[in-house]
Formats: sequence, structure tokens, C-alpha cells
Amino acid sequence: MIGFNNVTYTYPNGMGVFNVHLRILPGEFYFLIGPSGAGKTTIIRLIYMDMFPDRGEINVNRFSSKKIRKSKIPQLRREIGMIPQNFNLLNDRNLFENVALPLHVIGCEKKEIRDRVMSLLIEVGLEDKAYEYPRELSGGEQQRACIARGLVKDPDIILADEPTGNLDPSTAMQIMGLLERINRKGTAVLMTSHNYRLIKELGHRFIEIKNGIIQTG
Amino acid sequence: MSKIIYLFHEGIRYVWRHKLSAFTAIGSVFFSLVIIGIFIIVQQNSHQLIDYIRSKYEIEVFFEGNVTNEDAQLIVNQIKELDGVQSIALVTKEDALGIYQEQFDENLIDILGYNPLPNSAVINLEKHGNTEVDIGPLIANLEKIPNVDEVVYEGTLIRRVEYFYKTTIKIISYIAIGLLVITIIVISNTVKLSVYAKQDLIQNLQSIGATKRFIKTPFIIEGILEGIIGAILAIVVLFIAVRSGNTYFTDIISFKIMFDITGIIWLLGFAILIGLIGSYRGIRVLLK
Repeated sequence: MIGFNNVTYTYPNGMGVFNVHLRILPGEFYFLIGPSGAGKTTIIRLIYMDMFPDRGEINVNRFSSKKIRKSKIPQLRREIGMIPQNFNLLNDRNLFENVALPLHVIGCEKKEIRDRVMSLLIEVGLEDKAYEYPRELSGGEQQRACIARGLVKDPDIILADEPTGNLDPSTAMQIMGLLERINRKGTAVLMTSHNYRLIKELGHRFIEIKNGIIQTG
Repeated sequence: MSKIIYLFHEGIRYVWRHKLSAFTAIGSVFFSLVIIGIFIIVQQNSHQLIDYIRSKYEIEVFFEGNVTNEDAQLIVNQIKELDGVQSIALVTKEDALGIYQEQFDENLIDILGYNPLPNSAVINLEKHGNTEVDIGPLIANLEKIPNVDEVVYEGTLIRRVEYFYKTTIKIISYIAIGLLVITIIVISNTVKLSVYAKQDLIQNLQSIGATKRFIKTPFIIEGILEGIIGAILAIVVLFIAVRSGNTYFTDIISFKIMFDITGIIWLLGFAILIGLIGSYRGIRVLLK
């Protein structure tokens, strides 16, 4: 599902990720842990092909970083649900519209959009906030809305980039519970975090990265 | 289908969300199209004026003194076949004598004892619509005809009228092109502002797998909508102005000012073109 084969990506300042080998299979839940600047977000960006490796090859489902055409990148991204750290909701749209956005991109019909968005909002506990705007929601609610948006197109993979980074411990545990529930339904989850305690408590498999080099996995 | 409806709805939303810049763009389209519309009306109606002036163009052909009325009729028939001749009237020696007597109140036969006036003919020229009337070739052909003594025409006046008409149309066209370019730049800058204001939306869309076309389409619809709204306002204003002109200035204007469907289609066409080019220019920076 996700495979990194000896991948190196270097930023102009010399930082980056180096000789990364990685393999995540369908339905697995992995943490990618490491301190800030270790290369976690770089790996996430490489997976959804926001950038391409200098060396090595990345495979995501049937797409290869060596062969993919630019015009096919949107197709790859439709198979991935992204959950960013900074919520990234659109402030000029209500929650329903924010969550529905990926479905408009793939051209779903109005009724299907309504049904899928509402059932996901129920799943993340935000059904009564559907027509509220992001600024009216708490951090935890915004993150749950992001998760709903990441899930709405029924992706094979969820990439969660520090989704609990801006949340208090109790809300963070709620979000983790939600991601675990999604994972149990068969969606692979790769979540970055620098919160070692949280990872220890949950007991999932993890890959540790430091200075762009995989330490354990 | 639902995608198309969504993108169209987004285009309307973009216009609505950026009311001030949309207002600027619509205002600039409106202003340009009113000016261009005035030019279209002038151009459409100047036909009536130039056709009237051209109907007054006359060429007089005088035949040799020994040409009989019968021979003159044969020459007239020959001239009728030449390019650029709309109609021709034979003026016989007797007709000419009558005209002279009418104009000068003198009978030449009483004075001279004979009629010295030759047979002649008056030619009216064909109308040419927008194209310049060039009488040079016709004059040359007339002078080649045997028994034609002299060809008299107001060459300088015709050339001046035609030159003035041609130059006016040319200047109007240049001004219209200039205005179109300015409006395209205004729309393109408006769309550019709209694009910059929606950076977060664009990043979001890219991350969830939206194609470039999906991202671009609402901006293009935004530009076209601004163009069409500006055009509709301009058409309404021009229509009212033309109606008022035809109602209140009948004493000054001898003909009815026209602003027909062709003019409206041209203006809407310009508006769509302006919107399309402007918005393409606006988004191309962002989505290379």
C-alpha cells in the first residue's frame, strides 16, 4: 500500500530524509514519531506526492513516484485522506460545506453528498454543528471536522500530520479513539506525532525518525 | 452534472465574496462597453449618413458635339454596364437647353442662333456599405469610351468624404481595442486578487485531489460573470439612451437611431471574451 524504497529527499539547507525504507500494509496503524524537524512532515508530503524524492522510489497503491504523471497526482490524492495539524478548515464555509468539499471534487450527486457528510458528522459527534462555521468551534471540534473531511471520500489511507498537536490531553485521546475506530474498519492510518507518552499508552507500531534517518520501525 | 452546478455556484460565490473587487471589474466592463457600444451605434448609424452623402455623388459625362441623341443613348447603354454605376440618366441637347434656360433665364438659341450644348449623361454611383468608394477606375473607363469629350466630377470632395469616413472608423476601432485591453487587464487583476485571497482554499483543493481544471473553473466563471453583468448594465443604459434620442431629438436627427440585436450580440460577445481572457490571465500565475 505505502512503500518507500531507499528514498532520499534533501532540502536546499541540507536537511531532509535519507535512505528511508518503509512499508505500510492495508489496515495497519503506524505512528511516525520524532522531534520537530526530524522529517515526519516530509515523509507525509512525499506520500501524497507534494514533492518527489531525489533518489529511490515511493509506491502508494498503484502509483509510483518514478512513473506518475502530473495529471495523475489528483487521482492518487483522492485515495488518501489528509488530516493536517493546523485544522485547515475554510473559514468562509460551514462545517457541512467543509466536509463535503472532497465529494464535490469527485463529482458526487447532491443526495449522496448529504447522506455521506451527515453520517460522518454523526460519527465524529458534530451532527448538531453542521451549519456552524469553523470559528464557532473549539479546537477539538475543528480537528474532528478535519477527520470527517479526510474520511468522507472513503480513502484507503489516512495521513494524519500531528492531529493532536494543538489539543489538550483529553481531547487528544478522543481524537485517537476516533482514528482507531476508523482503522478497525480497514483504513490504514499513518500518524505523525512527537508525543511519546501518547504512543506508549496506545501501544501501536511506530517508526522513529531522527535527523531524517529512520531509527526503529 | 452536479459538478458543473457546483462549479457554477462557486463562481457566483466568488463574485459575491469579493464584492468590492467585483464591483470594480463590473464597473470597468460597464464603462468600456458603454464606450464601445456608442462606437457600435455610431458605426451602425453612420451607414445611413454616409449612404445619404454617397447618393449625392454624381459624375457628369459630356459627349462630343457631333454625337446625335441616338448615338448618345448607345453610349449611355455602354456606360450602364461599367462597374460602380448604379444608374445613369441621359441629358439630351434639348434637355440641357431647358435646364440652362431654367437656371439662367436666357434662351441660348435666341442669343447664338443654335444650340451649343452637347448631349451628356449623369451617373449615380453604387453604394459600398463600409468600404471606401474609389471612383478612379470608373473615371478611367469613362474617359476611354469614344465620343466622350469630358468627365466632370467632384473628385476632391468625394476623396475627402471617403478619407474622413475611413479615418473615423479606423480611430474608433483603435480606441475600442485599447479599451478592451484595459478592461481585460482590470478583470485579470480582479481575478488575481480573488486567487490570492483564496490561497487556503486552493491548497485545500490540491491536497484533496482536485484537478487544475476544477480549481480554475470557478475563477473563469467569476471573470465571465463580471463581464456579462457589466455588459447587461451597458446594454440597458445604451438602450435607454437610444430610445430617448429617438423620442426627444426627432427634430435634430432626421433618421431613426438604430441599436439592433447585432450590436447587443457584439457587446455580449466582447464581455464574454473580456471575462475569459482576463480570468485566464489572472489564474495562470498561480496554477502553472
